[in-house]
Amino acid sequence: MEKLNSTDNKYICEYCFIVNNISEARFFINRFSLKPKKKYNLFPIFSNKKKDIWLAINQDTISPTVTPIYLKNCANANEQTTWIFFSFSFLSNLNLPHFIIIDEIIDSSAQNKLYPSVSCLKKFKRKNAFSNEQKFQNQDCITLKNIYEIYKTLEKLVNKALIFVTTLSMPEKYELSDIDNKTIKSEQNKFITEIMNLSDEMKITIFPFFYVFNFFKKIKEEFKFSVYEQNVLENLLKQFNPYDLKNNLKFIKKLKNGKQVINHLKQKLL
Amino acid sequence: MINTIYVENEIKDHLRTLSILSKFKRSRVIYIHKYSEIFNKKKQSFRLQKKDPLLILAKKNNNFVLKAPEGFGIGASENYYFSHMYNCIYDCKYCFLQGLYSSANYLVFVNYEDFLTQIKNLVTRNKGKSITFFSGYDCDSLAMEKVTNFAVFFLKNYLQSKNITYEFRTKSLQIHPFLKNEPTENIIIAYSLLPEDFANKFDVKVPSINLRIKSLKQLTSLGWKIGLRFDPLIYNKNWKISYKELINTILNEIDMNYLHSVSFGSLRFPKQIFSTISNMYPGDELFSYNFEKRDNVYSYKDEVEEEMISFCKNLIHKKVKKDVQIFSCTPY
Repeated sequence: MEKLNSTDNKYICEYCFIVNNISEARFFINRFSLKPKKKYNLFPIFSNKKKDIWLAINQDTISPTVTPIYLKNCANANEQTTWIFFSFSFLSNLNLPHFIIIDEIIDSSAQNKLYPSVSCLKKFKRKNAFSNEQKFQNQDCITLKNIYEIYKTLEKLVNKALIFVTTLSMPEKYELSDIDNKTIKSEQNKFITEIMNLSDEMKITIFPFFYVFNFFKKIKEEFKFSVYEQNVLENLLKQFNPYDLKNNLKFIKKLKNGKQVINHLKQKLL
Repeated sequence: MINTIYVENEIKDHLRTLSILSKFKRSRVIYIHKYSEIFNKKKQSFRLQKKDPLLILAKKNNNFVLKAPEGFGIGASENYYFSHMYNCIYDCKYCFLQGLYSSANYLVFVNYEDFLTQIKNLVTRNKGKSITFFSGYDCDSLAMEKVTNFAVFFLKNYLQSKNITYEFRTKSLQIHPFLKNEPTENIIIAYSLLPEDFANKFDVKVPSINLRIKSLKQLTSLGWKIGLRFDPLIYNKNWKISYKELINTILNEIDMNYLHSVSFGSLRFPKQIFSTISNMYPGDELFSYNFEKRDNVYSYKDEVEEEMISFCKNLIHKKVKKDVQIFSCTPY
């Protein structure tokens, strides 16, 4: 097996997904055109061509605490990577599938609890979840297999606000296959895209310097700048609020050359 | 609107907890063992939480009242501070809490009685000495008053003694507990103030300077003692004009007979806090002026600090009777 940390650094891993089985992975594989990475043989690992989206499927034979660490190494994920755990679950009091964010994880065997961040998640429906099956099944309880171990490991590795524990809860009386596949897909697509966009917004707030730095890199790639102009550009960008930069990006991309970019930024600072 | 409230199991039936929860009927309530499971954990983002803060209700078990840092005081021989809450609803760019905590969520300790017990113990221990107790160090004393009712409780139950002064430091307009009570010599309501042009840039989500001055006027008109806290003093090329205008406006508006004290402290940060906060605001003008590092504290150069403080002191002296107490406040 290839040494995990020696992967090339030319890409930035933006999103890592963890699921429990192939049926949960299918949506992500199709939506992001993920391909299996056969050189990683401990877990099924997938990534897209750009290598900015990665996915791992938990294995019953391996402790779930290993999954996040292994995926982090394979994907070369950094502190700015968004982590999304996704699983299907069942609730008796539903008529239609519901996308839910988990804000309290209960390890019922030891009665330990973990509390995923809820920053900026007020628009989503939220509930608690058990990490293992309950002896006396409460019909209003969500069970997400392995989630306690996975979250406990993840919260030590990455920024807590960028870990999202998500589930698509189905009406309990139905089997997964009974529910219209289209409905499931459209719910997944809608909410997972929303979470991904939200996490992108959150990263600007959490890592403003990196945003400015990445912005500089992007602009430098798109336009030609002399060394002097690069310095001017760098100094100009440092004076910007990252959100103002984000709002200006579309306009800047329409400009013709580096000089125009610099003049535009100068004017914006006046 | 606070969307989520975490409540420690131990105080889930506390009357104050129930009263606070009753004000947030639509919020999701999650019961926790200890507030430290949520608050100030590693790998959290202060700036992100500031966008959407949640509330934590907890019981404080020790360190109710702490010794104030060296250089923090308004004339008493002993200075202590207490905080019934950590963090603040305002978002001042220079606020040291941003660097102190990794969490911007509001943490309210509901066992107010224990704060007063410790104050009483300290008064007994320091018998005969003059003591000031400051509220508003880790939070704004009054900004969350509508939720916490801390000032209401305090005014009903505090220990009166001629040697003791209590200062409520604030930028808030929530002064109703004082308006409903008789004024007392022991309590000062002290307002942190910045010139309007500075406040518009740096005092984010804070009541305007004009409204703060209006509150000061209201308090003095009822006989409450007030304090003026020009802390931090912030530098820019027009600082003299700005501070002159601010000080003149205030002194023209309020009844000087009730001015207890004035204090000045220039902008300063402990080293670690400076690096954390300045990284939160890349390119912000607040941090673009040259700071100097002295004894692990980042501040303006000595001569700048001295010039600013003496300029403002002179403005005060010109207008105010001589016995008003003026202090330089330079903790850390």
